[in-house]
Amino acid sequence: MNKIVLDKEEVIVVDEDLDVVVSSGMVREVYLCAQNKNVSINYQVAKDAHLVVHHYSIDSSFQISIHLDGENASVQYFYSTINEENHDFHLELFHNASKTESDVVCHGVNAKDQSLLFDIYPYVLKQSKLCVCNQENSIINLSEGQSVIRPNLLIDCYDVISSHSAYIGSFRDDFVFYLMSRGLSREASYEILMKSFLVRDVVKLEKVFPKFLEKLKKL
Amino acid sequence: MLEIKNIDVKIKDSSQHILNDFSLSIGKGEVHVIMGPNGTGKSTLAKVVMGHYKYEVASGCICFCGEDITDMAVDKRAKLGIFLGMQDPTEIEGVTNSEFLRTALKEVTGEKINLYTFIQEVEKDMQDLKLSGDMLHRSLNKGFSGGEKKKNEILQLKVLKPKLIILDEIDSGLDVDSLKIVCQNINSYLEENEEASVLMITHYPRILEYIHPDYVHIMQDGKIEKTGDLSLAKIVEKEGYHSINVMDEEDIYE
Repeated sequence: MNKIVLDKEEVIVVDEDLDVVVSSGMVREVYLCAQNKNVSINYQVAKDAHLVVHHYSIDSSFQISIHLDGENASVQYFYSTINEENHDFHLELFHNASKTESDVVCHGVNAKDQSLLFDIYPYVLKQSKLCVCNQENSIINLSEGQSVIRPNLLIDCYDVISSHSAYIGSFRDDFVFYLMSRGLSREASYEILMKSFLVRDVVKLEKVFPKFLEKLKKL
Repeated sequence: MLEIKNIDVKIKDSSQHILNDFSLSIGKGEVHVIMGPNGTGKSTLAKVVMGHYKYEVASGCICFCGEDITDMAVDKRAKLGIFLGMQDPTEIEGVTNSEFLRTALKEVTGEKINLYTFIQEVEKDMQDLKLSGDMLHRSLNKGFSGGEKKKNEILQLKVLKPKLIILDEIDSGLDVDSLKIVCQNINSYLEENEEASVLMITHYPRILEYIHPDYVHIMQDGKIEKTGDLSLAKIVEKEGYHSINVMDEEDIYE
């Protein structure tokens, strides 16, 4: 297993299990790129540290564990995946201290007749006061694949701000109609919608993981 | 330009008919206005001409520039030159206005457009519409005010340069100044494109002070009950839709 202490913005091509550490007071942004992998990643975020993860994957499975270990530690986790085989994304997130914040956004396109699972488990422990714990999950099915989202919230504390959502389906018909009414073909409409759904920063992604954009175009 | 011949329109997978034996002919360069009480099928008509997925033309046909478009895909209709300015434009998070407009222009013209040239040209149109520069980089209609959404529809019109402009209640949600700006831009487009035609749906004759119609049609129960010119709109405003059944023909034309 590799252990990485983040000391700047990092681009990590994931090959094997990882331990990622963000030291106290640090603000760090990391890009994770993976294709055809089955990997565990463990994050430890210390007091007053802030971590942003842009996690892009093609046909991969992940077991993610995030520990917000000190007061005011926070994480924003953006997971985007293109799935053509059977894959799972398991995420456990531990609010181990007070005033910790998490925001998890998982978006997937299930392109073929295979399965895609998002299994999201944030835990807010009893002693962790005044935490914020949000998650939003969506899977777009392009075919007859089986998609499952478990947007769990395990909260043992009364003063938490929290939300969770899950959507599985296709792009809304009115979106497609609007784009097509301006001359975009159905394929071009889907391409533009998928790009906006999966990619937060196209320019950055072109630099760090162009294969993801190439794959997106071929869907 | 547009020939709608005796169409019956129903909601897909339902027996509910919205338009009954509806016919309308719009020539090049003509401005037609459709008015009518709520629920008579005005917006349905606009959507049907654009090919909306919710409706089915059970009988009759729609021809545009001599081509039968009754069963044509939405994007093909747009490429032929039909534009629908929507009553409540759809908000799409994550798709930026600039990316959307540039892709649409590329699809309609078939030419790849240089980003710099595109932005330069669009900025001029945006200035005409008094739209702020940042809206080009914002998500499509997301968080736009009612006025910004309507102006954005007109911006798309100016960029895509259609032959037939369908405006579904473009005046709703616009303040007096914004209405004036929107109408000025539509009028200047019509001056530059003399053969472009307009099918405008509205509840209020106020917009007709700025965009002068050649024909005003009153729709009731899914069909046109009366046709006249601006005089007809003025009578309806004054006396209500129930008055159309007792009007003299000489009253409805100036």
